[in-house]
Amino acid sequence: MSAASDPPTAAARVSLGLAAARRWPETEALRRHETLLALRGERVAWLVADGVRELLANAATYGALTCEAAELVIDPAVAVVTLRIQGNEFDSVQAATSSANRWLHRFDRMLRSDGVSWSWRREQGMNVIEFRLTGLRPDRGGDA
Amino acid sequence: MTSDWKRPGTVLVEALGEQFWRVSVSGNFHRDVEGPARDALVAAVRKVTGRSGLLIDLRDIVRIDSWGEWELTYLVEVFVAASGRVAVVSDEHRPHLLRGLLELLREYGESVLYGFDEAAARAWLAEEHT
Repeated sequence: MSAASDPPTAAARVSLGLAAARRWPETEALRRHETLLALRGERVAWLVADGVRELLANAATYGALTCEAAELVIDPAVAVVTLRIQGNEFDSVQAATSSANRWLHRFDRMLRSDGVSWSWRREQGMNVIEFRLTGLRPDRGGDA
Repeated sequence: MTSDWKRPGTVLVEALGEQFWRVSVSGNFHRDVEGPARDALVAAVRKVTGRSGLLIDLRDIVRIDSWGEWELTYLVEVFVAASGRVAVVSDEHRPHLLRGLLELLREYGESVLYGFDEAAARAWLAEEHT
C-alpha cells in the first residue's frame, strides 16, 4: 500500500466558526473529511457532521455567540472526535433542543445504536463534547 | 451541489384516487432556506389533511435537518391521530440522509411504513380499504 492510500493517523483540527454553524457546505465537507471517514466509515462521518451542525446551529439560535471559536478535533489514534465550543450555553442548548424537537434525544439514540458513546463536560471555560468511536459497529451496506 | 444550499425545495401535493394524498418533497427542506420560502414550504405541508392515507415521497430530497424532520413528523402525527396510515418512500442509495426522521417515525409503530418501493407503499396504503 502506498503512503498516499494509507489512512490518516495524525489528529486533524477543523475550525468551525459561527458562520459555519448554519452552513451546509461545511457540513458536507465534514461528511467527506478523510480523517473522519477513516475512523469508521461514511455512516458515522454523516452522523458526526450532522450532529455538529445541529449543535452549533442551536447554539447560535439560542445565543451562544461565542461558538464562533468552535473547533473539532478528530484523533484517529484513540478513535475520539472532540467538539469544543466556548461559552456556557450548552445547558440551555440541551434544554432547548430537547423541548423544541427532541433532536438531542434521537441524536443520542442514533449514536448509541451505532456503538458511539458521547459525553459533555466543562473544561477551562469550554464546552467539550466527546464522541468515542471505539465500540463502533462497522457500516452495514444500505442500512439506514 | 453545495452552492444551492439555501435555495428552497418544492412540496408537491397530489390526490391518489379519492382516499389518499401524495406529498413529494424535493431539494432543500431545512431551517436555513430563506424565510418566506420556508414559510411557504411549511404551509404546503400543513394543508394536507382530510384523507385516510398519505404517501410521503422523499426520493428527491437533497438536504433535511431536524427542523424539516419535525415538520414532516407533524404531518405524520395528523394522519396517525385520525387513524390514518402513512407510507414514506426514500432513495435506497442515500441511506444516511433520513436517519433522524426514521428515529422519529419509529414512535408510530405499524401506522407508518418506510421503504424504497413506491408501488409497495401504495399497495400497503390500499390494504385497509380492500
